[in-house]
Amino acid sequence: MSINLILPFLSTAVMFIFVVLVFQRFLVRRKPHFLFWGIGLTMFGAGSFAEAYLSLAWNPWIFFAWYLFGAVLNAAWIGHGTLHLLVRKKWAHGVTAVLILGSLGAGYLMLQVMPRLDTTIFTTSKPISEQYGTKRLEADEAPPPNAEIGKVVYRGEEVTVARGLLPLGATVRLTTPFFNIYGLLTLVGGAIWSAYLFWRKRVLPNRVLGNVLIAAGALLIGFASTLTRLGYGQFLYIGELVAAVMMFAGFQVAARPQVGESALAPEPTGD
Amino acid sequence: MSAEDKESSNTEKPGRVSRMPSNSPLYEKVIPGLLIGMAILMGALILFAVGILLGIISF
Repeated sequence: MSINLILPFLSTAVMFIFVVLVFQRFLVRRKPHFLFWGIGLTMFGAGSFAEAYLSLAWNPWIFFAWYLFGAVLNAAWIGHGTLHLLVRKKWAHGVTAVLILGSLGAGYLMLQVMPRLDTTIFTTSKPISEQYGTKRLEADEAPPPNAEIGKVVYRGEEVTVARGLLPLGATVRLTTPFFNIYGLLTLVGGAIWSAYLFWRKRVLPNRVLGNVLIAAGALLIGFASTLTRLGYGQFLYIGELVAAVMMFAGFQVAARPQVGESALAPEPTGD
Repeated sequence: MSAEDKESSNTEKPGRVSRMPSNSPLYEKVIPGLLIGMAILMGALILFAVGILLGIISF
């Protein structure tokens, strides 16, 4: 069995443990940020599992889960948990409503595109991230490495494309940047900001380190996904595994009571 | 997951909070450098995503 088949399953296992710990904290503390982190991390885990599955076989509903949860929604939901700690409740509730409606809308758009998937190009020899999107090629544009070239009619015009599972111009793809920009700002930006606040006050070094690890892990996965889409898919699975481990480690480090702190004040770090 | 941070920092009492080691290269040099570097990378990724959204970058 190739290492590339094992890595996504390892990422899924790490995320599963992570999710269980976060939901345990939510059940104990009843704080909304744990709930949103738990939901977002569950989506991340579902995306990892779907990716692992699609490296072995095709299933349209696994692809549905991979794209909707793994590519579109998970960063936004994890980051939304952090937002709950950084802004006033009424603002957070307003954004929650927008996030829920937006996620339902993305789910609806994904359902609409399902009958139009071009499954004939699917192969288990490439990561799903390298084959999901159809890309229009301009006359002088070089196709991505290993791409299957074809012609499709798009808006009444025959165009050359690098073929992908989702049809050219699929509306659901337009939603991805919105969710991912929001996720990047809140998840990575929130972690960087929190680390900076503790660093500036010179307190709680575990929170500083924990947030640095979380931000680095989230950035790593963003870069791995971007590189994959640009044709460098060999970094994806290892990038995802390292990112999952870094975020998990960051969460654990940030939540760990400090020496002395635990003896004097068992509550502070909460958990 | 900045998270519990704000919340718990409100509950921590002065004198009970663990402090960063003084003169530590990790906290004096590495961490600030990482924070600045990651903020720049985040900005680059956001610009990339905005470029895709506006159709400037074909993805």
